[in-house]
Amino acid sequence: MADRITLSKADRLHVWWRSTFIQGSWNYERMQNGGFAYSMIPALKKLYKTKEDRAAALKRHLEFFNTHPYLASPIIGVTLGTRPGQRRTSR
Amino acid sequence: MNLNWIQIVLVIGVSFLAGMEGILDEFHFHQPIIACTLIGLVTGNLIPCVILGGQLEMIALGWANIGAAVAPDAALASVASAIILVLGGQGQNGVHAAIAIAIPLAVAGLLLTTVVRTLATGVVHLMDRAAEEGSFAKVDMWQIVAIIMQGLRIAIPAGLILAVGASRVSDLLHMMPAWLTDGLGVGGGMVVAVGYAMIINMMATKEVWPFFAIGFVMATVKDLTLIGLGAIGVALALIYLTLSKMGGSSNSGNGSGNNNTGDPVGKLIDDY
Repeated sequence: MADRITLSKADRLHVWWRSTFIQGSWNYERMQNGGFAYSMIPALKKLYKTKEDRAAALKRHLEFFNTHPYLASPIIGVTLGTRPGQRRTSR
Repeated sequence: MNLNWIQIVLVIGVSFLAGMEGILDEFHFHQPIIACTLIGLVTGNLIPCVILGGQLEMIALGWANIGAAVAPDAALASVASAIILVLGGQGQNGVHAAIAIAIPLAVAGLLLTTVVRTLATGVVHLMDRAAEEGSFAKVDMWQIVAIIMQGLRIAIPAGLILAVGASRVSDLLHMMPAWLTDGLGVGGGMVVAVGYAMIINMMATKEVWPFFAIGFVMATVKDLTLIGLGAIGVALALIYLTLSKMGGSSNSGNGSGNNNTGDPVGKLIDDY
């Protein structure tokens, strides 16, 4: 548990600001996936340090995602809440 | 009316913001009332542009991007029609013609949105490639490129209209025969009704219908000012709140006065 990483308020604010641009790369293939990955990047930066981890994390966060931009906020918040746990069990 | 270069830069800036917002749906620069007002503000034609924005807003009220469906493009419609209104130099008399132009422009903007969203598919594939490298900076960059692309979607047409020039735009407006502008004005009025119907369809429940009825009746009384209408609205809301707290014990008889709202989500939230 010693290496448990918590996200600071600044990180969360950063993710919030980026989440306002979630629809920026809306596309017909995976819809809001680019915006979702873009929003999560400040958190991912903190949680994953090696290049392989980062690549895997980015690929995971570029999967299909679509919701109303307002409703994206709670979803991103919950996702942020689950990330530290995922870090500890990451493969 | 001719614009100097500062105004041209500002107009293109406003249209860029409107284009971004048309897709982001967060800051609402693309709503006609805001986009037209901003264009009016930077070009010094505030009053006709606010009137245009208000009328277009009534039409665009029910437009929303839902799922993969793209709504008619309020951003292009409001920016382009406001610019045409300013360039035409007719002031408030030009508002009807500008609205008539706005509706076909909104449909044309739909096409542009579709094109840009298709291009964004390519951008996302570039993001995939950046993800392979684990490069956050590149993913950031492509996201920003995609947003800029959406901004240019409106900024470029706006620039084109400005490039055509004031004299030719006003010639074109004067060339439009009266039957065309009048007809489009009537059509625009019908589209307002459709926009409003869409909104009502979304929010109407058994409980709010009386309020709609009161509102529509009140709106026909020309002597009431907006402040008067606002005061009536606040008063009705307060009366509603007081009565709904008192309800249940006296009128309905089945105990749970507030529960028959006809709005399943509201009930879920109350019970949560």
